[in-house]
Amino acid sequence: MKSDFQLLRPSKVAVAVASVLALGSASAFASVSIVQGVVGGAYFTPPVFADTAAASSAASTVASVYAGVTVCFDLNGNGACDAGEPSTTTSSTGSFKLSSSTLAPLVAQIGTNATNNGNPISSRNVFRANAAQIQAATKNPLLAATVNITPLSTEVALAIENQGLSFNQATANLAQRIGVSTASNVLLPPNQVTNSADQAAILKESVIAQGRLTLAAKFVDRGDTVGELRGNFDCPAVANFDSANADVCSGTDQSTVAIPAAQQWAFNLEGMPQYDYVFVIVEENESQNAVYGKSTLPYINSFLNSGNLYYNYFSTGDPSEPNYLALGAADDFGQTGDEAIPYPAIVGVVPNLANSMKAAGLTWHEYEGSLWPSPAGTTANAGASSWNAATGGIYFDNPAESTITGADGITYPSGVVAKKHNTGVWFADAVAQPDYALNARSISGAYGTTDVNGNAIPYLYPSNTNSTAADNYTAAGDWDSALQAHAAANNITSWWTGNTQPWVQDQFKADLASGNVANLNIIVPDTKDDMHDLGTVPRTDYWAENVVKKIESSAIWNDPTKRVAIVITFDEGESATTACCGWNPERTGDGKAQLVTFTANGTEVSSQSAESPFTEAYKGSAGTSTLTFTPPAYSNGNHGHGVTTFGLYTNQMALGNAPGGIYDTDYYSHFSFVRTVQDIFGLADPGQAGTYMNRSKYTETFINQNATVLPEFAGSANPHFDAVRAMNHVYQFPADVTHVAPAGAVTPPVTVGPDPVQTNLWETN
Amino acid sequence: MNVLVKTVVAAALISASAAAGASTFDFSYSFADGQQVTGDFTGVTADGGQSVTSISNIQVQLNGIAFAPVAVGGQTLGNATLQANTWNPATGAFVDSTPVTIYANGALNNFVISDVDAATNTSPDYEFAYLNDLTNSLFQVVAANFLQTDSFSQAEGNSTQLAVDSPGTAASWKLTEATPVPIPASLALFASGLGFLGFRSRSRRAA
Repeated sequence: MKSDFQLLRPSKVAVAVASVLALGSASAFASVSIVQGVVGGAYFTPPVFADTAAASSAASTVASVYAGVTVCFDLNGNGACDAGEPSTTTSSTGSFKLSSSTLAPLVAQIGTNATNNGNPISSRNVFRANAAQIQAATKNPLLAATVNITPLSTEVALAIENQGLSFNQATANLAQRIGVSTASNVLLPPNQVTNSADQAAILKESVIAQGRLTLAAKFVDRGDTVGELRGNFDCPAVANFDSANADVCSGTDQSTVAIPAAQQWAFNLEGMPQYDYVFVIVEENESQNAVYGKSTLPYINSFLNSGNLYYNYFSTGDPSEPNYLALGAADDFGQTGDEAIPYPAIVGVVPNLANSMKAAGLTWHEYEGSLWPSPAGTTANAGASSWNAATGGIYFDNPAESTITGADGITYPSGVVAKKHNTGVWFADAVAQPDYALNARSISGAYGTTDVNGNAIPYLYPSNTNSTAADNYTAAGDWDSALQAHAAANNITSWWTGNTQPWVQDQFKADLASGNVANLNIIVPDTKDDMHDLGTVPRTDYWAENVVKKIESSAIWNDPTKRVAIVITFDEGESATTACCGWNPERTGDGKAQLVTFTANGTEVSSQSAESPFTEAYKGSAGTSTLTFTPPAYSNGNHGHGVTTFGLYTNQMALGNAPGGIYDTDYYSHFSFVRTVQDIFGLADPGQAGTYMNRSKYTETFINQNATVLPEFAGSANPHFDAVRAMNHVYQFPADVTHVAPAGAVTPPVTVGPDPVQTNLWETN
Repeated sequence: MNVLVKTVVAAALISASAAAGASTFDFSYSFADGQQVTGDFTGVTADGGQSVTSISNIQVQLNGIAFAPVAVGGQTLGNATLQANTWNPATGAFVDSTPVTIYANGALNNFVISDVDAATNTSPDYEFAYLNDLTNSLFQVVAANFLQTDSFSQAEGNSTQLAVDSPGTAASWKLTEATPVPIPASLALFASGLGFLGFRSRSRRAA
């Protein structure tokens, strides 16, 4: 080995001595804590939403470092870098080194003067690292411990603080939950993760967490109260509202929070816990009392009984179309029938769940039963620019339920796919996204008469004609098998000419196996299996059972670190009239509802003429139109009709980590569910009403604050029932309230006063 | 003469020249961010001239600021006498049961110099640690003076001096014999040895 001696008489290296300043308050350290690391995360370029594919673009994410960030030892644990706390500033590479006499958590205070990969930061953020992370990285107090401060280190800190997990367990759980193969990778800055799959998972989670942590900083900076953060809109009671309906205030509802608690709330917006996967099975046209206890629906009833139930859940219109619009975007956009055809119905850039999920770095899929021939889920068809415009540019099926000629010149049967039974296809800006066709996927069998070779398809499963349990269904049935066998026997590799994509008819099954399901999955059976055509026949029950059991047998469901929810609901009852929550049932007689739009901050209002076609009203012309008539006074109430089923079952219930068999008798609707989804996935800011899409922002507080421009709510008999809220069970019925089952509803177990258990039905470990 | 042969010869000459007495050695380490540790100590060469043992009279400066006591509010912080301890990879801790060895090759160093006994006290006021622990994958050079600040620390917002290279860079470490204490009988041999090393050093640079 070569010696580094540099003899014989070297001069000492000249030292560039900087000015030395005596410490004014130096003191001997009781114990040294030296750390070095990087403040890192993700730089997310959101998608561009537009009506055309040419003007649209997908999101992108790259690993990033934060420069100019204040890093400190948080001696007082308030999540902020206060005067007197040892602090430093990150370099252009995001690196820092820092020492302290006291072991304490690390805080990275990312101000708007910092940069993310050189890009400006519009809203400040705070990342943290728990002291246990420093301890784990400390080999010796005299050596520097490498501690990176990232969105994921913050998640580990939150798990330690609030779930009581050890550092190692919290780290392992996070790695498992997001699919990182090497647990220690979750504590690296993403740009140092060499395993590409791990890095991709970490980047996705970093985007999600960064969004929520930004919200937390806002909660603190605005001084939001616990009442606001947990979605208690009447605490303190809002003026002009019946105080008898004021929600019960907790002792802390009017207190504000520091960063650590705010970050917990950011992952529990309005009390709704973060879920990794939500599956929503949307059935058709059955009121609650047509489903509950129905002998032909034993499995659905067992699902409802073992899970949690909402007794007053309302559709928001009739027929199907306004309800699917509501499920997709919390508004019916003035639709009172199926008139918004052909697709897309909603033009302009309009907030909807499909796009909002993507804007937050999350994913969505819509699984359509018997989607055939399936152009979806294949790269070759992404964008679907070659398809017939009359079909919406995407699908061959059409709501007129007649045959249609595709762009390839082939005549296709009408099928049993009612494309109006879809929450995403309505929105031009969602359809125009480059990966729309990849997100619109198939489930269960195919419908048709012949395959691409002209051979008759033996519809062993599911049949489109029979309606009994003997209809080739088995509870454990795999409806792909018959079609797979047919495809193999007839050398079919795709369902339409010229397509070279592999045969995957039941993409849902394949996605569950591969883990490629989305964060939000809307599942719509075909019109035979969703009770639309056949009513509450056994095959619909078997279909639901088959789907639920597929989910329950998946790896994601059985992973205790993941939160997975299954919802079974209906678009509406069999004879829905009006609806609950945030919607004026009064109409002018022309079939067009009053439309009012708001700017993003929820304060500036522009009213749209009810006479205007809704497609015009939502072309982004907010603030330019005026009312042409005075809306009728709200007088009818809207809680008497349209009640339907909403059952919830989660893997955490199955694992015994969350309560099952409880219920909530508060009043909710499709709008409430969309608000709930926004909370679950962190898509909106509870402290900024305008961030909730469309009518999901119509809380009691919002209506009250905007009463002058929401005349349809004037004179409301009971504003609580007219308003939208997250399905969080915060509202507690006054003791003297007598529960009356609306038309179509079953009588809830509680008849007077609050529910016996006021627990949030979505609660988890 | 190839490098290996020259090195062996030079080391032998140095060893022979200084084996009988202690010398003063200068050292320095230049951190990647421009900070620098300098210092000296008394010791005896060993290992064929590759290392120094029997270390005492240690002086260290970080960016020119000495590891020295500071009076604050009528209280004196820091010890005037610096100690050296060895890192034990087997236990993952500093120990004082074995003599400290400081190597000319930075990649071999596993020591800490501080104002405390690092084997028992984890709260020094100043320290210079240099680790190359293959067993635990700890490759790090740390210099800190928790009683002083300077322009480096101020630029980073740190309230005290702190320099970290992780991993350290062996080429940034220099150890030189500054003032050997010759024994007359071996003075000529010592001089020839130094002369040869000077030749070797120039040759290496030329290469």
